[in-house]
Amino acid sequence: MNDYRFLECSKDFPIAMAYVPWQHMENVYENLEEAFMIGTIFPELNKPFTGRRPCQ
Amino acid sequence: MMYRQPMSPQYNTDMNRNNLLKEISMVDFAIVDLNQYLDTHPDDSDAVAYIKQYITILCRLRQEYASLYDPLSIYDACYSDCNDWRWARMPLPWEGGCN
Amino acid sequence: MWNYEKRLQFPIDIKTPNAEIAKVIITQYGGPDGELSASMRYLSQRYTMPYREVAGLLTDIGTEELAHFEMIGAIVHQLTKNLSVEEIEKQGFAPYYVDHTLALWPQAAGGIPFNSCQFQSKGDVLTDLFEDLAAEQKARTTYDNILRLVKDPDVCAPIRFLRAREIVHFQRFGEALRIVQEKLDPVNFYQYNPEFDGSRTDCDCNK
Repeated sequence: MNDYRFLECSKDFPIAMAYVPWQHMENVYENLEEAFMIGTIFPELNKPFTGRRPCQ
Repeated sequence: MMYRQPMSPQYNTDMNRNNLLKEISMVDFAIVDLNQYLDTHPDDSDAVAYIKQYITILCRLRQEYASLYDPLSIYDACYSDCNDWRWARMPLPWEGGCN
Repeated sequence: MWNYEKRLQFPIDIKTPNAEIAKVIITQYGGPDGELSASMRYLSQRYTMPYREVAGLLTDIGTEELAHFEMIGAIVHQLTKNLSVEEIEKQGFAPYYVDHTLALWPQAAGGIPFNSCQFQSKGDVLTDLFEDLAAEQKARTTYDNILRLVKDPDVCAPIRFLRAREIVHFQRFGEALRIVQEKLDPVNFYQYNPEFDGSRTDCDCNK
């Protein structure tokens, strides 16, 4: 029988709730103009839209 | 965790209106993004130092823009030598062109 | 309170009018997942939010959304500026034109006027934050849909900027949710609503 329990620390993340991971400011774009055109100074928050599935 | 010291931006004061306005927009944008980060990370002292750096630069840029061109807010009018109320006559931001 | 700066947060300079895409983009002006909805949602929720960091975030993001509302207004205005009556008719803009000429009026792409039913301010800390997380994703999806329809780079650039902001805001509301979760009992997050029951305790001790 398949066991679908995921190995998560349910003590830290009780069920019946949703959790967004914390961002830590490690990097910012060196080029402010690049950050401005992208829409954030944080590279890890840059999630562009392509409208295409990535190739496997 | 290694934190890379952000580069201190160098600003050339010999800029035309469009370029100066763009610099202001970019520096203010960094402040807005950092401010929201600090709303949820108020104890991140690196981020506090970073935003203060940018705020200092922005004040200087806005003062310059107001003295050379137009006040971006009514509170910048004190930096203008004009005797008329530029605020009432300056371009509106949706007109296109530079902004 | 609010001050005004006479500049847009991100520059908008559209050289080619196009009422066809204006009809679509106006949905981010007055539509259910648009910038005015977002702003009113956050600025309404903040008054009864009992945690200062979260009320502060709602204020700051709600304020930025007003700047985005202005950007969308500028985009629609520049897309419809100086159109002739023939162009208005040909590009399907006549139904809007007859009621508003070329003025901006907050409505969705489908014509539903802006109204408060487009957002909720439920007065429960957790519920409102989940509302806000969903709102940012709905806005992001709307911008994805707009990017599929629009090819003019003068329009795409500010739209991509606005879309990126939605993702950042989602992260911030997610962090606000984590802040709230830390203040609640993890055995049962739903035992009480800090916005309303904040001063009531189970025991009969006097507070």
